Parts: sequence; structure tokens; C-alpha cells
Amino acid sequence: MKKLTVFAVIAALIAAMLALSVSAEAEPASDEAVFDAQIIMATLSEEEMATLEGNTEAPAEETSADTDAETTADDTTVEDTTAADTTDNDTAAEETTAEAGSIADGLTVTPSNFVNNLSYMGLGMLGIFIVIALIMGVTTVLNKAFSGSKNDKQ
Amino acid sequence: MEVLFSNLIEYFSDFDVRPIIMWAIGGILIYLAIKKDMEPTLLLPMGFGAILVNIPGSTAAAEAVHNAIGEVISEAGPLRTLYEAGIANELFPLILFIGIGAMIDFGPILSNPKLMIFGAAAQFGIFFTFCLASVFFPIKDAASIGIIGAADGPTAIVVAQQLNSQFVGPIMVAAYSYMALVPIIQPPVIKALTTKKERMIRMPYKPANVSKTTRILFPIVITVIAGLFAPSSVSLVGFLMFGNLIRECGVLDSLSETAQKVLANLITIFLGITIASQMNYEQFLRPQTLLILGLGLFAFVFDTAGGVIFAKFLNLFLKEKINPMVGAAGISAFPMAGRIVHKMGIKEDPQNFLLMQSMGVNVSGQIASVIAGGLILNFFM
Repeated sequence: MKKLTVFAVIAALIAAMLALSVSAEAEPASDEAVFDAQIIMATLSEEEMATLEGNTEAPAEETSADTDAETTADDTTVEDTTAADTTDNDTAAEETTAEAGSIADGLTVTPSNFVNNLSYMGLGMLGIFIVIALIMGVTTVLNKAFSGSKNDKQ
Repeated sequence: MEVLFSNLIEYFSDFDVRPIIMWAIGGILIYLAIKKDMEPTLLLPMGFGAILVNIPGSTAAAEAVHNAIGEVISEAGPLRTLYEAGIANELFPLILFIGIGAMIDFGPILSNPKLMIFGAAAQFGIFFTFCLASVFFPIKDAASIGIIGAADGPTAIVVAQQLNSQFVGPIMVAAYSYMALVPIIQPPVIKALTTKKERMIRMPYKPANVSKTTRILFPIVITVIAGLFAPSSVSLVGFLMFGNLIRECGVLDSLSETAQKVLANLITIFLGITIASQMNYEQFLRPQTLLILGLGLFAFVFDTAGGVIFAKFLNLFLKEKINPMVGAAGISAFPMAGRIVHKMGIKEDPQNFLLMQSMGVNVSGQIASVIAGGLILNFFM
């Protein structure tokens, strides 16, 4: 009964948080973000506009006074601000890579990282075993060295 | 009249359900602490602090506000002040480690050093969870999440802070909550990985005399060895072993008692309620938090599995078999993990007393978890 109660409490907590994350709707873009987008749009050439309209995905871009400096590059991408999820007027810049996919705000999935970081797992476990083995050896030596003293026993 | 209700009016005019959810989470933590007696020393202050910082307009965790020339317009809230004083610089968890070190008796592991190896094996969950977390999080955050598997609050706080993780709050809640849930998490994992015959393996306890000199030299030697291999762990290991040295030296009984009781309790109060300053709804109620809670559970499960499977692996080569459940006690949740293994052994065979072996392994897990934390810091700092 105790286990069931605890599991029920944990399940309720997880369900509440899941419901919250799923039901979170994209907030409308801030006025600042819309204004910056308009500046960027105004500086694009016709060719760049055509390329932009063909893009279906655009990464979020940091809203700052310096964003117009980035619009001259050929690979400029502009976030579709009507669909942007802005939080407190801060939109962090995120690069989209060929590997990463986005599953939620700020959460990307890069499966290759699991394999890439296995070396850390190997090194870490090896390191712990080496240190513990050394401690075991030293402890054994200490026991042997100081076991002879009759007045020293506990 | 409006002044009296201005905060309420402001809140309801721009209603947000998230603070209420955090109140519920705080209430759940308090319920688990009081009614279920699950790590009450930490869950209760954390639960209350979660309610405190999520009251609309609360300044308990507010940061100090400065004007353009650096003058203070409004002071930082008390929780923020405590956070800067003791968590941001990892001071509180390190001082708590002095108390923990003073509480630990290394006698069982000193009399049978071979069992220390299971403490190492049971840290597998840390690194496996790190690899899994790196799929979803940047590498430093993934490492901070992996260290939940250390099953050690101070280690988790120190590592997460030093790696500047943005998920300190959820990591702390996960670490301490799962430490309290070890009696529920471990048994199913142990039963799934072992047969009844293996669980009934007896391990006769042959106590060896451990000299006082060994007990005094042990913490000093551990600090030097761990520090040479993982310099980042010197503060963690050092404070833990300093506490133990105070206990074992025999001439500082009053300091030992103070460290075990007054100091540990005082820091625990501050730690619990200050950690709650990271439980603001904006920081806490994110999909990442849910993922961290899931990964934390993963870490504990794989810690347990690592210890048990390693024991089974060793049994392939040993004549005197080891009860694989003892491997599961290597998780650093002291002393719960040791007690759980002992109880499971008694349940299978009422004459099978595994307490001394499991507590020895449990204690070695404490050392191994701190070393793991130091290695993580070495890799990613």
C-alpha cells in the first residue's frame, strides 16, 4: 500500500509536468522580435527573399541591435516569428545541425552523442577501478603493517 | 484598500497556473518527508522552500538590483544571499561532508578491503546516464545529470555548480528524492538480475582486527591517492576524510560529536531551503526537468545493476561465491542501500546475515562516488 501510494504520487507529479509541457502553446512573438524581423526582411535582396520563402525550417536567431550585420550573409536565415516561442523576450540562438532534431523548446536530440561519449564511460570506470584498487592495496598494506601492535587494537 | 490586495490583483489579472503546480510539488515533497519519512531532513526544507519562492511577488529568492553606476537599489532576498554564500561556491555541501565523514565507520571495509571493488562497480550508472543524457543535453549538463547516480547530495551539488549546469534545482530534487526512494528502486532491480539461489549465498563474516593506526592513516592516505588521480576531487574527498579523521583520532570527541550532530543538522537546514531557491517555476517546470527526473531514475537503476552484474561476473572465477546482492550495496545511499541488501538476504534465508558486508560495500560506495565526481570534473571542467 505504501509502495502504491508513493508510486501514485510520483506518477501524478510526472503526469502534471507532462501535461504542462504538452499543453504549452507557442507564445506570440514579442514586438521587439517582430520589429527586428521586419528590419532583416527589408535588407534582403530579391534573391535572398526567394530563397527564404523556400525554407520550411528556420532556426531561432538572437534578437539584438546587431542582427542586421548578419543579414548580408548568403546563408542568413530568419525565424518565422509568428511561430517563434519566445520566453521573456530572450530568444537564444541555436544552430540546426544535420544530426540534431528538436523535440521541445531548448531540447535537441543528438543520438550520435551516446556513442561519441562512450569513451568517457570507459575512462571513468577504468579510473575509478584503478583508484579503488590502489586504495585496496594500500589498506591491505596498512593492515599488515600495523596489525602486530597489541595495544593498538580496536 | 487596493494596496492590500495589489499583489493578488496583479496575479489574477495575469493568471499563471505554474506557481500553483510548484506549490503542489512542494506539498508533495513535504508529504513524502513527513508521512512517508523519506529523507525528511532535506525533502521538507526543499518542499517548503519551493512554496516560498513560488508565491507571486515573492522576494525570498530575488537577486539584488543595481543601477547603472552599481549602487544597490534593492537587496537580494535571503535565499539568494544564502545561495551565493554557500551553494554557488559549493561551501555548504563541503562542510556537510565533514559531518558525514565524522558519522562513517570505515571498520567493516578496513577489515575486508576486497569488498571495496563493488563500490567502484556500482558507479556504472553515473557514466551510462551521462552518455544517455548527452543525447539530449549539452555535455556539461549531461555530466551534471549523470552525477545524480552518485546518490550523494553534496557531490551532486558540487559537480553541478562547478560545471555551471543550468539544471541545479532539478538535479538536486532528483538526487535527494531518489536517495529516499532507494528502498523502492533497488529490490526489483536486484530480483530481476539474480536467481533465488544466488540471493541465498551465504557470506560468513570473519572480522579482522583493525588497528587504530590504520584507522587514522586511512583517511589521510585516501585523500592523497584520490587527489593525485583526480585533483578536482580533493575538496570533496578531503572534507569527507577530514571529518573521518576527527572521529578516528580519539582526541577530538567534542569536535566529532559537533560535526556529526550540530554542524550536519545546521548545514542540512540551510542546504535544503537554499536549494529550493532554484525551484522557481520558470526554471523548474520545463520538459527538461521531466527528462532529468527520468534520467536520474535510470542512473540509480544502472548503479544497482552495475554492482550486481559485477558480483555475478566475479563469481565465475571465485571458489567462495559472493552474494550478488552485496554488489547493489555499492550505491552511495548510506546506510539505506546496505540495510536493504541485508533485509533482502534475511528474507531469502533467515540465517543469512549480510549486514557487515553490505555496510562495508555501502561505505566504499561513498568513497567511490566522490572519486567519480572528481573524475567527472577532471574530464569536463
